[in-house]
Amino acid sequence: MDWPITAWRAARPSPPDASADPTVHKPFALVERTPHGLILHALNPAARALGLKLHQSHADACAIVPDLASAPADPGEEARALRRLAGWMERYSPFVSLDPSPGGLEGLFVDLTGGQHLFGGEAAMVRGMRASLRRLGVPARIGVADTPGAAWALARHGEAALTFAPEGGAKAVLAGLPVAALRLEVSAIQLLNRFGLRRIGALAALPRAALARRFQDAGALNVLQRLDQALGHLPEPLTPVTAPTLYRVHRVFAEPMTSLEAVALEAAALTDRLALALERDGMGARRLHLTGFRVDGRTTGLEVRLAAASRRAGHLIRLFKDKGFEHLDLGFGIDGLALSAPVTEPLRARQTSTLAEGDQAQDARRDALVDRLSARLGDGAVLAPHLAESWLPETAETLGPYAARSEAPANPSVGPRPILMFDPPEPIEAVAELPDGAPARFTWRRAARRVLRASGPERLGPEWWKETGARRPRRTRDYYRVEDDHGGRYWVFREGLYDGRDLDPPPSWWMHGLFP
Amino acid sequence: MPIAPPLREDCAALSRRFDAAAFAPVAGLEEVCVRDAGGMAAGLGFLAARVRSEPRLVAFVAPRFWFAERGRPYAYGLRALGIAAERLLVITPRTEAEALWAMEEILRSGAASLAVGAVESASLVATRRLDLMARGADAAAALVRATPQTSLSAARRRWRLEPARSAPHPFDPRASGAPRWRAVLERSRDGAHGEALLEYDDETFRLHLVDGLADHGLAGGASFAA
Repeated sequence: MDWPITAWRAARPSPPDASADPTVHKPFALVERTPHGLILHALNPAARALGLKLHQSHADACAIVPDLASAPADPGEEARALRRLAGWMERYSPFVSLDPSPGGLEGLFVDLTGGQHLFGGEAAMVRGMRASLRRLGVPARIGVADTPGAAWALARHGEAALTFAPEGGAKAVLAGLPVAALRLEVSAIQLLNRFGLRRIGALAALPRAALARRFQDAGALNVLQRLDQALGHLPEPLTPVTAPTLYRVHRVFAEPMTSLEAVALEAAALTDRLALALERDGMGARRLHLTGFRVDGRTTGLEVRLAAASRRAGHLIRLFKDKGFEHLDLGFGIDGLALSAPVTEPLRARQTSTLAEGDQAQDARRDALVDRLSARLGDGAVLAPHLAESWLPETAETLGPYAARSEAPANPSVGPRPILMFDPPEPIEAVAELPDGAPARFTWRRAARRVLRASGPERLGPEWWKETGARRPRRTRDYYRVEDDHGGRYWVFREGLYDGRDLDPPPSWWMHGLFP
Repeated sequence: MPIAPPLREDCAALSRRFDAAAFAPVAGLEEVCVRDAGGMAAGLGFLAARVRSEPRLVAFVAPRFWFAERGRPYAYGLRALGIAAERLLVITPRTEAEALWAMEEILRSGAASLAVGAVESASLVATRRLDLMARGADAAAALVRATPQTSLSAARRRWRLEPARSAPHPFDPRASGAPRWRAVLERSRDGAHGEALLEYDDETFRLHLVDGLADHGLAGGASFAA
C-alpha cells in the first residue's frame, strides 16, 4: 500500500522518533514533474482523508491542504526498491513477479502453490508474510485467491488487510467488489459505472454476448478478458523476477544468523540436498547461486560458475568457500538461505574404458582445478588460448576465459612463431640495409641492438574482408626473425611496403614477440 | 708421437661436477633467474623444452601487467617446443599471494605437469610447500625471477638462463639455427653446479650439450631426452 511513500521512506535514514516522520500523521505527498506542472504521485492516508486525490495538481492540493508536506518522487528508485523486495519475497516462493498492469507498480504476485506446508499452512504463511513485511516498514495488504486477478482485487478492495478467497470461491467473493477491482482502464470503469454496473457480481451476471456487443471497441475485450482472468476461465501468464529454477533448495531459520561460519555450515547442508536432487535427475550444475534473505528486506548473493557440470557436493561447497563467504553482506543477520542451480545440464555417467581412463581422470582433474581457480580469482583470471581462423598473429590466437575456449583446431601451416608475444606490438626504431629488407640495427626499449642473423620476410596481408573499426586501414606486414649479437631472438615486422603506393605515413617497424 | 690421453677420464671427472642428468627434469621446485626480456624467453623455452609430452596441463601464473610487459605465452610458438595449445593454461592473479596460492592449487590438483610462476618474493615456507606439492603430483614447478635472489629457498635447483648466439642455419647461413641457451646451474641440492651451452632440437624435442671438447664440456653426442 502506498508503495512510493514506503520506498521513499526506506531510502532515507529513519527519524529518531515516529512523530518526526513526515509521512505518518501529517498529510504528505510525493510529487512528480510533468509537462502540465507538478502533480501528486503518491499520498499517505492522512492526505487521502483530507480529500486529496492522485494525479491532482500540486497547486490545487496546496490550496485544499495548506500544510501539505511534499517531496519529489523518484519512480526509478521505487521500481528498484520493488524489485529488491521481490527478491526478498523469494524466501516464500521461487515464483515472484512484479504486477505488470499499467500503474501497477506497487504490487507483487507470489505463487504460493505447493509451498504452504513448509510454513505451517497457507493461513499461517500469509500472516507470517504480513508480519515480516510490517517489521520491514512495509504496510502490506494481501489477498490470497486462486487466480492472480482475484488476488489483486482482494488485496486492493478487500475489507480487511488480509483476505482469503476459499478455494473455488472466487466468484462469490468478487461479486461484492467494485468493478475497479478488475484492473480495468479508467475509461472502461467510467463506462461501466454509467451503465449502472458498479459491482463485479452485476457484471458477471450479464450474458456475455450482450456485454461484448455493448463494448464494441477494444475496451470490451479488455473487460471480458479481465473478468475471465479473475474468475479463472482464462490463464494469465506472469513473468517471474528471477527465472524459476528446477533445482532450488532453501531453509528458513527461527533466529537471524549473523555469523559466517553458521552460514557456511548451512550452505554445506543445502549443497548436499541440491546434489541429491541433481543426482536423482542425472543432472549437473554449471552455475550455482546462494541467496541469503536479510532481516532488513534485502538479499545478498554469491554465485559460482563451473567449467564443467558437476554434482559432487564436496566440490560445489569448496567452490563457495574459495569464492569466500565473506563476500556475503549479512547486515543485521539473515533468516533464510536458498541455493539454486540456474544453469544445469545432463551429466551422463561415463563409461570408463581401460584405454581412455587416464584421459577422463585428467579431464575431471582439470575441470575441478579450473573451477577452483575461477571461483577464487574470477573468470577473467583463468585464461586459455582461443584459436581463430586468421592470419594476423594477434587475432589468430587470443587469451580468453578458459571456460569459453573453442575447440578450433590449430592452423597447421603457420611459420615460426614466438613463445612470448607483445600484444599490442611495441614500436621500434630500425635501420635496414635495403628499404624493403631485414633490419640491420634496431632500438627497442631504449637499447640499441645489432642484428647478426635474420630470416624472412613472412608477408601477412591485411584481412580486408573483416570489419576492424580501426581508423586507418590495416597494412601489409613483413615479419622477420632476427637475432642480435647477444643471442636475443626477436620477431619484428615492418608495417607497410616500400612499393611507392603506400608511403603515407611511411612504413614503421614493430616488435611483436620473442623466440626462445 | 705421444698419444693423446684418453678423454674418458676428463669426461668422467667433469661429469661428477656437472653431467647430463643435471638437466633432466625433476619433480619438484626449481628457480630460473633471468636478466632481461631475451633471458625470459630463453628461461621459458628451457622450461618448456623439458616438459614431457603428455596430456597434462602447462600453466603460467603471472599478474596481467607482467604479460603486458614481458609478453604473453603464445601457443603457436610453444607448439614448436612440443606443447599443444589445449594444454596451455594462463592464470593472472592480482597479488603474489594469490599467485602462490594458484600455483599450489595447480600442483595439488595433479592436472598439470609444469607450473611456471612469476613470483619475485617467495618465503622459504612458500617454496617448501610448492616443492612438496610438485613432488606429490610428479610435476615440475618453476619460479621465474628477474631479480637476483638472496633469500633462502627450498628450490632443488637454481638456474641462470641467457640466450646464446645460435649456429647458422644449415640451409641458410644468414638465418639463425636452432635456439641455444647458456644455462648456469648456480645451486642445487645435490651439490652439482656448472655451466653449459645448450641447443634445442625442435624436430626430436631434445636438448643437446653443444660445448666442444675445447671448452671441457661433454661431447656433442651426449644428449638426453626432454
